[in-house]
Amino acid sequence: MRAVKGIIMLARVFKILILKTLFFTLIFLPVNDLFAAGSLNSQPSFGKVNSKVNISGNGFKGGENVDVFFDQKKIKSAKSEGNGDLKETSFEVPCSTPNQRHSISAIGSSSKTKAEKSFFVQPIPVSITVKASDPKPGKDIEISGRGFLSEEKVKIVFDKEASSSGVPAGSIKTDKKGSLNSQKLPIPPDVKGEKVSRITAIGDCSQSSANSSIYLQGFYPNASPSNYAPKVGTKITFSGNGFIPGEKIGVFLGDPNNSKSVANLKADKNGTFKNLGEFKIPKDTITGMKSSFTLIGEKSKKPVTISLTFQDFNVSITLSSYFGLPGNTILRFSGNGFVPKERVDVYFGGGGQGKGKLVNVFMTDDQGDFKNKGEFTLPFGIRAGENVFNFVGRESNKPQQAVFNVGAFTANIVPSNFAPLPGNSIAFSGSGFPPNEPIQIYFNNQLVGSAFSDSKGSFKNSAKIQVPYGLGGQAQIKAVGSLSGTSAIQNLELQALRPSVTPSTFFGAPESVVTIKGNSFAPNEHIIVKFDEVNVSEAQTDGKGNFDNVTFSVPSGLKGGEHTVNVSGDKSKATGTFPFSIGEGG
Amino acid sequence: MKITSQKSKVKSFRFLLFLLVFALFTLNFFSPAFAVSKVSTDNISVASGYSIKPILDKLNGPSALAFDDSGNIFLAESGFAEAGGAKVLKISPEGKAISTLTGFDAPINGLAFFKGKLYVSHRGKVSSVASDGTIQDIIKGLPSDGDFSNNQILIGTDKKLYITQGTVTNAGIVGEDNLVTGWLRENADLADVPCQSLSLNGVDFASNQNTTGAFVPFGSTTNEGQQVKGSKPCNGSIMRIDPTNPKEIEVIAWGLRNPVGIGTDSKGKIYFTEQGFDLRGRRLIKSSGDNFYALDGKWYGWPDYSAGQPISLSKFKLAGTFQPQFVLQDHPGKEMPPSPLAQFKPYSRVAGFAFSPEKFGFKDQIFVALSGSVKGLTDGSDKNSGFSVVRLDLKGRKISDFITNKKANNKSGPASTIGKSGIERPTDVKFSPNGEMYVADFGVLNVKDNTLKAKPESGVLWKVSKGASLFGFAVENPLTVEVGLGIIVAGGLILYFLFKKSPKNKPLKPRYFFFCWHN
Repeated sequence: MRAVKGIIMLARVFKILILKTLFFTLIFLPVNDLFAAGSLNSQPSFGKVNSKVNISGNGFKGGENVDVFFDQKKIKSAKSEGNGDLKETSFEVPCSTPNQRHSISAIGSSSKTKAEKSFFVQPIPVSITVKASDPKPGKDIEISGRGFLSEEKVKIVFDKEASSSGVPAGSIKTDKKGSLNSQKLPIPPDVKGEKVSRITAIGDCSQSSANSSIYLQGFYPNASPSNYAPKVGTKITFSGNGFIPGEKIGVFLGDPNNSKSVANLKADKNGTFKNLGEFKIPKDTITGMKSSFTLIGEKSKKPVTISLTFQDFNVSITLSSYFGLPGNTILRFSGNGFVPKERVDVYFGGGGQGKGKLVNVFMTDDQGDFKNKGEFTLPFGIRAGENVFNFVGRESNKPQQAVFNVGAFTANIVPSNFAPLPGNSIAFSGSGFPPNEPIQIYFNNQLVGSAFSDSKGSFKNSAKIQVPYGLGGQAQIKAVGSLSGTSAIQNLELQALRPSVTPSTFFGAPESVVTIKGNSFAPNEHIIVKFDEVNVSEAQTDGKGNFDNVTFSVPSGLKGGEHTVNVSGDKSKATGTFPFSIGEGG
Repeated sequence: MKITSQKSKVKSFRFLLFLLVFALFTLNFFSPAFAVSKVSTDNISVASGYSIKPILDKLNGPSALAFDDSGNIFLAESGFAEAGGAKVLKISPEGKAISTLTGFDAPINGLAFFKGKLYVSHRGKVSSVASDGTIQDIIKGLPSDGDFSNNQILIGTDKKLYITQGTVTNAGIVGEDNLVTGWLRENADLADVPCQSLSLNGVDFASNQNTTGAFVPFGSTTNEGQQVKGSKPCNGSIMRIDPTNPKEIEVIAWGLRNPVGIGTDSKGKIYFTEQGFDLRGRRLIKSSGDNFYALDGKWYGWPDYSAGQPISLSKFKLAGTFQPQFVLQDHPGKEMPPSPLAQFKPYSRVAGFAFSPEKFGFKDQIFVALSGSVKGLTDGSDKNSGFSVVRLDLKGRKISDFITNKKANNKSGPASTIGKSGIERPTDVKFSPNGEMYVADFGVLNVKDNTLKAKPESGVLWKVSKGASLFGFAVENPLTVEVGLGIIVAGGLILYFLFKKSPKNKPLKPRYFFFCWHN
């Protein structure tokens, strides 16, 4: 019984052993082991990435395709010989393969026959050195090194730690010998300065890495304004250096924590900038006190504060002349202290509530100055004495005054003869008028001629007229400038003609013939001879106002005694008289 | 004797027939399809390589041109200065009259064609004309009862309608000169309307009739600081409306005197011409010239600036007169008014223009019509300026004569002055879709009996083509013409020979001629 039990026990144990063996065989048998077995040789078994590995094998189906895998990645395909041998072939260890054990396998595509070998990638010893002339974030660092693969891309990372992937700075490439020769890369602006920074170079293909350290300095940005005493309403710009190359910089007026940036600019590749961040200073900005701008780099975040004092406008004006006469006086203006390239409006004659008439407009230059600008001709009709110019910048809007004295014309007119006889020709000269002005000449308020003043405001022997007959005593001449209204008056003492008549006799009987001659009448005028009130004869004077051999008959029927003979000019109204006696016996 | 006579008659008949056929042949070679005007071009000087010919004459004051998409020509007869009725002629590219559109208020000063509609700028209005001839007013009430009217129009690349609008007066002051321009007799309450409110200097101008200030009616005086209310539409401006919704008027440019021509370059940028001051009226300002501007939406300075320069400068003073003073107390804007891109001689009365297409040559250069001075209106002198089409090259800002009259009888100027046939007053220049230049020539315009008067039926439509001129027709290559002429003459001789040698009873059949004709 015991023997039977023993046999049964042994059978159970054996059964368990068989089942367990079968179980573990099924569970732990590698899948690959399901393939039929072949054999593979590889030479060498250790090597660097990119190194050449020769492989050969057998046990494959004759003439089938055999795929070669490095780890799980198919890297090659070859055809087996007719006897199932895999003829020697080679491959290169792929880039970026980690330094550890790897598997090389060959699988027949139809037979599934598999052969496998191990390959160990060996680390490559690499080294780097770094240096920098200005070791600051944003500046360049020079990297040298050796031992890398030929023409390999090498990644440079700052401050790579076990817990941090670091700050990538970019990639550089080795030469054919696998060396780095002082190759430059900018230090990333994100790397913190003022500490020792570790730089790691990692071969992209070899996966080999080397470290080096350098002390990185911090940022000391600096900035200055275009003007430390800018005027309100003007524009200001900023220049600076020491910022992170290419970083954006905000400009704040006052406390940067409590205000928005008033301007923005960007540093160049050297971390500098010049005359950027244009900002127009508001007109309501407080002047005469210290104020500040703060510039903060977006990456460097180090504030730079600039103190300055805003100025009010301090404009000054100079006139090309401070006294002048209306008409041809042309004024030009100079000045400074205005807003650059602003329009300046010039008003004249303002006072009280009015700002005056706009008389000129011009632009200031780049400095807010102007020299001999404008062209203002003093108009006629303006008030003599002090007049005010107001200069108003359209941007600065701070009126500035200049006083100008307007003179008055004191004109006079002079006749060529102050006491002319009727019929005399007289001309007029004048002075004190505006230059180059048409002048009208009046004689007893009647327009009789015109003159034109010269460049000195004078005219000479102009507007010749003939003194009218029939006038006597005082006459008035007046010259009036047709543009300026300037006038000059002069009185003339007109002389009367005093003709004389001489008879051939002063005595005679009625119906006797008397011959007369006369002179000083008007030239070529008709004369009438009256004996008392009776017309007794008529005649014409010659060109000199004389007549001769004019006869008349003494009227009949007149009483004897004294009578009067009048000879009067028709035009001149002048009369010559002589007494004529008729005998009593008549 | 009888037989001889019969033979002679047959010979004569054959010769006459030959002459007729030859004449037909040669005429067909040269002749346009339209009736040839009798206006001679002998006295016209055109730039080398181009030729000019009249298309239509006996027109009444042509003022503006436009083309439809098929190349048909629209030509406005303005009706200005009693030139005749205001109408638009539609003419085929071959020069045949298609239709006449009426129902417009004189003067018609501008035309534009856009998307099947013709737009007509006539006194106080811009109207659209549909293809069926229906006229619809797009905008009314434009201030055009003064010296100048609403002028040329443009549909911009923004599909908006741009309207050039002239002023009521020459220099802001209503005066006796407006009796010559005519309107003061009918409307003594008229004055310029600015686009924005303005403050006045209070400068008034006296004559033996009365004293008048700026921007106020005849006989009204002004005070320093007096406000003139601005409104829209306004004088001396370029206004813009949406033709599909014309309620809102935008002022694109103002402070202009008389903007006339408006057009775009190949990139769609808008330019315009402006006539500068005339030397007339109570406020005499010596003009610095007529102007060509880019449209950039600013105040251009009228009536206190001429071509961007203040008239307070002594260069604007006429000897023996007052130095011109500003009439405005505040000039709009913060800068000086813009300067023109180019200036034409004073009193040229610049008008329409067009940028040249590549086909015509001088690509992107500008051809400008200068309608010419008017004695008794523009400067009162006999000195002539304008009366030509000029070429403006913006790159060098150089202006060259393109079409002028040759000097004749020791005189230069319009045809009516030199006493020969030629161009008179070009008012518009436009290029057809196939790249040929057309010039509207207003005809004779003078001041007579103190009134501006146009001579009826003195206008001409000219066509300028690339190529040398032969018998008044354009020829691209003169050598070809010489060869062609040789062939014609030889052909004529052969035909004559064939006629002469053909059997008496078998004259040449017409089909041979047609064969020749069509080849």
